[in-house]
Amino acid sequence: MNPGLLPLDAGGYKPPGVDDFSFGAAFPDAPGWLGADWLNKPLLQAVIGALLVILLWWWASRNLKVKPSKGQFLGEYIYEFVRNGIARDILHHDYKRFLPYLLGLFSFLLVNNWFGEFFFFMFPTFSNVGYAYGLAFLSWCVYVGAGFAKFGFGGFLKRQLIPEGVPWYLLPLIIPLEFLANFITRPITLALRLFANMFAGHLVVMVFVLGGAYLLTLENNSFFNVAGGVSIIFSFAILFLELFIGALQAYIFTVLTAQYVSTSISEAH
Amino acid sequence: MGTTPLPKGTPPPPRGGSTDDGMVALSYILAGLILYGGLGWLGDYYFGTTWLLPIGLIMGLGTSTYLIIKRYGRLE
Repeated sequence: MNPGLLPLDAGGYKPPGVDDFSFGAAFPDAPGWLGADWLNKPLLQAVIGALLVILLWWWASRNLKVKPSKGQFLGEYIYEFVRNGIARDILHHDYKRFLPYLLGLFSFLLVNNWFGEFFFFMFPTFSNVGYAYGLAFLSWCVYVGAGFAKFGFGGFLKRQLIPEGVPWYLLPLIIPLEFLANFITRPITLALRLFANMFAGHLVVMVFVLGGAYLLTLENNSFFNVAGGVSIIFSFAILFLELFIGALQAYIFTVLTAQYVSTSISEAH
Repeated sequence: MGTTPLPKGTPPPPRGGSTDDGMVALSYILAGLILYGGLGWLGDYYFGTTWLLPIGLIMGLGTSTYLIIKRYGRLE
């Protein structure tokens, strides 16, 4: 079975797995709804993340000066990145109406993804798939709602389901496919891309840290101790990679939401 | 907040990035495979045949590719 490489049955080492992503009640002893099962760590993180985003932008929009301070420069830099790099590039002249949503989405995702690398939290909220589905559903409502608001119910469906220049005899094949692609697999791929990246990243970090800690504290085997130490040092590199991936996934989610809005409100597609 | 406006007279940037379009196209590929592959699987399941699933998968991929060409492959 195990050719003497790791004494798996001796030390009681439990490799990190899916169980590490489910949490019980955050305050099990609290009375009433405070002790409920649904009030768990990811929910608290999402609420704290939302409060942080509100606080950040409230703070960034106070006391603005013509000659910006360092904090104002940072706030403006993020704002311009989303406004010019995402919203205006993709949505052109319609971008102003969707900018608040896109900016809120980007900063909320960024904060929650970076929770995975910060002390006290150490868990990316969106590695719980339900949160990713919720956010994708919100984006779905925005891009479908924008299309309905612009073209009306029938007009939007016709634009989304019947591409130009398709001969009539192919329409029975095309229409169900378009429906599935535009209204169902789009939000699902949006959610799963975010979820899988955060889940896998957090799992890798846990393998390096927990496995490394186990090897480091193993008795009577200096080779394993050294390997565990190296693994823990290497986990810092992985954490920095996770910082990058968290930012990248926040960016991709926002860009794709903008892209979907753009395809549902563009005049000619 | 101060933002940099686009300089006057610059042409609008080309539509989207190729990467973004690729990510959008992914949902078409998946939808085609799921829809027609799923229909093929259902057909196999009810009629006891084995050749409907591959036919459905290939047809789904084909129609997806056709749709992607129609939606994104037009020359400006």
